[in-house]
Amino acid sequence: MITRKKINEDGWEMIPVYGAVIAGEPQFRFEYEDTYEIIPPELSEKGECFAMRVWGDSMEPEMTEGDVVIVLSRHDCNNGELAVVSVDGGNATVKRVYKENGECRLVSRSEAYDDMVYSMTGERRADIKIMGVVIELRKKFDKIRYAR
Amino acid sequence: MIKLKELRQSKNMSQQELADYLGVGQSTLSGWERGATCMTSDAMIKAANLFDVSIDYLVGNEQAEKEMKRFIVLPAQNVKEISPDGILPPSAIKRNEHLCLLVTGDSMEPDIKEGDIAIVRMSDSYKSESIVALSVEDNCRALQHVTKVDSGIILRSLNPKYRLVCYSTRQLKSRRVRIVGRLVEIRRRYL
Repeated sequence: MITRKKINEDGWEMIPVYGAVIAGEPQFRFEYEDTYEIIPPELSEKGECFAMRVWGDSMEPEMTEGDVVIVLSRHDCNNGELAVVSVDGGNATVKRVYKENGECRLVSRSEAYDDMVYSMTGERRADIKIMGVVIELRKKFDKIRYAR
Repeated sequence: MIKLKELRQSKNMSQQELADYLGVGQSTLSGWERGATCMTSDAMIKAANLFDVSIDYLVGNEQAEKEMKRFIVLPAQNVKEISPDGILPPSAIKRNEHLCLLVTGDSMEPDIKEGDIAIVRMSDSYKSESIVALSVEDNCRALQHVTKVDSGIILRSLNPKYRLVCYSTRQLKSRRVRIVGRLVEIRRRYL
């Protein structure tokens, strides 16, 4: 899934920052941004990681547009974890994920956004793809050059 | 603001003279002295310097005594310097351009929380309306939002329950309190 990665001799890894992660068939399409984040061995040892730039205001004030999340690639997450998730082929966003009673609830941090509840069973089941779990947030305070 | 009037009279200044010094009209000053309107932060710093009193004294903060003027009011400590090992790659540590700070307390909530790691780029230059790190006697101790005004700087925590601290250009020149650099990144772990 991740095509570019450089590893230096100390176990530190350079991972690409994706401007957007677009869910598609048969696989996800990653929009490259030509920037990197450098992650310590402590994070890279956990597994395959990628970085994604946060867009939109649904996770404010915790995450604002232009911040970067370091994501551990996984196809599932535990209840209540922050994950990068795509619903019905839409662009991936960061949400807190709860699964209960056959439903999946995606929770934004901002109070301006209602919880999104999707059925995971039956005919009207939603196609929910978890692409990874957020392991670190890197809030950027020098954002001008990342303006979309 | 009765204090302003008392201080002006103690210096035998007319309203017009003080208004000119503060760069405002006489009617504006009159409004401030009557307490009808609030002083601008820029004028507060200028007046506090002129009369050699603290801003607290000027605005009539009852706990503040006139004697406080002898001490520089420091921003509350909200960071602790930590080793950059494991936070910055070895090549960046070698360049020695950044400081790593551990955030303590809730003074920078909601954006910055206790336990976050702040990465500060050491630099003499900083922009107004940005977040900077301050050192007191060369110990880095606070992250604060800074606003530049004509006669100095105003520092505030992002959490509104904490007080403002102001420094005049003269106080900054004393180098006891120093801006060491600007905040470039906050890191927060989730797993």
